[in-house]
Amino acid sequence: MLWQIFKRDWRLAMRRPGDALSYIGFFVMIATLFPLALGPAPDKLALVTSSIIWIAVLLASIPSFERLYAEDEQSGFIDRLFVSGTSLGGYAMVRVLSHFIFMGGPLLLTLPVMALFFGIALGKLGLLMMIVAIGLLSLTLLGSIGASLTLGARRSGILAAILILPLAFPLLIFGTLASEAVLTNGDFMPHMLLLISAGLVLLVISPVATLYALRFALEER
Amino acid sequence: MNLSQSAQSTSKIQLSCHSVAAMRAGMALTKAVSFTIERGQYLQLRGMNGIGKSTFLRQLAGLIPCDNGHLTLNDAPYDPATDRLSLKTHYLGHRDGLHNDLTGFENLQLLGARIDEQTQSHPLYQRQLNSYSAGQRQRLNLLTLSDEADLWLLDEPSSNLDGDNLQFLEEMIKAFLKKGGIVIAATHGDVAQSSVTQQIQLAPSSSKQAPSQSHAGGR
Repeated sequence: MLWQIFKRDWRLAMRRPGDALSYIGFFVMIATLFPLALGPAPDKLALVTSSIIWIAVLLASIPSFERLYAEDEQSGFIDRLFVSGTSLGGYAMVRVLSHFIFMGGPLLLTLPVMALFFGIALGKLGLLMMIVAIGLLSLTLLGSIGASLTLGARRSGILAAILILPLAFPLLIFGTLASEAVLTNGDFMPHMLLLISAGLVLLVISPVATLYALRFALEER
Repeated sequence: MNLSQSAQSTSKIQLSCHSVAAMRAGMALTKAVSFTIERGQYLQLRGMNGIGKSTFLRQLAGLIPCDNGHLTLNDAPYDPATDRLSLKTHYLGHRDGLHNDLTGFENLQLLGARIDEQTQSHPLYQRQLNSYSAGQRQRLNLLTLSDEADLWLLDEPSSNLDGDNLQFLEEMIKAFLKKGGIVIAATHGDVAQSSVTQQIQLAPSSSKQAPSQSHAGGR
């Protein structure tokens, strides 16, 4: 069943490319605002490049999490899963994974373009993408909690953002420090390990929290 | 949806509902009802719009907890929210769980419905659901019911169906009952009336302000 859901998400991602495109578009727009505001001086930009990328990832991602469960909850698909005995925690993790792959994947692919933009050496790109990928997956796990908790609430997108952003501070801090270290040829390992450990904590908490939040949303119907 | 555990039509199933009322936000909507239903029986829930038929069915499906009264299965306490294996339930609600951007066939496949070749090759099922009429959609919804379940909970199964499709629904119900299934349906119109074994008329709770006092049958 979970594999069937993943296949469905894949199919839907192919059928509705607008979702991923608007997400990427938003990400690129936010990242573009900084050079415009700071001025084009390369030395100035170099100081804040990793911060810009991370803030753009964070801001662009948060509205996209609203879509994790809202559609399936409204259609009654989650009702069906629950009655048929499919694990809602498993379902949540499939949704997180497909969000990461079908939304986050295209975003990661825009990073090379961003690299040209900010003058990042291409040799450092691989590591940078890996660190952003870890952060993005962790962020999606966090977003899953926010999205499920605010299901059915009015202005749930904003509410979820206010809930999630403070909890995303550790990801932002470790992610920025790690990417900064990569860009300045420093030692990125400690920061990246901290980022990974934050992600692992979320990996444990997120399925359980989402499961209970989804369960609660069903009762409210 | 998981078809691997097929119902054993020989085993006994006796589902009893002991003074359960439809509850919303701690308030009883209906007077509490009690009934016992066994294999091959068909219970029809009647009552005016908004009385709580859907809520009652959602309680039986485990989607909303049964806070007042209780359910038993073969005389043992039964919680539909956690006990999935002892009574395989299919629930068909107003929100059908079908996806608009998938074709009919893809929806059936996703929900684990058994699809014969005739259905698979039918041009209607190759179309995405956003082009379906309400009746076509409901017919597709019916196809997701599996007769390998033990219990069907149907919420207005006949809504939007034309004569032919209504007959299709009635035949489905009759075949399922014959196979030893249990059907509990909330309907306004007549659906497979000749097979109905029990009918319950839901009545509004007499004292909506103080629901806790109005039901003797607690846990």
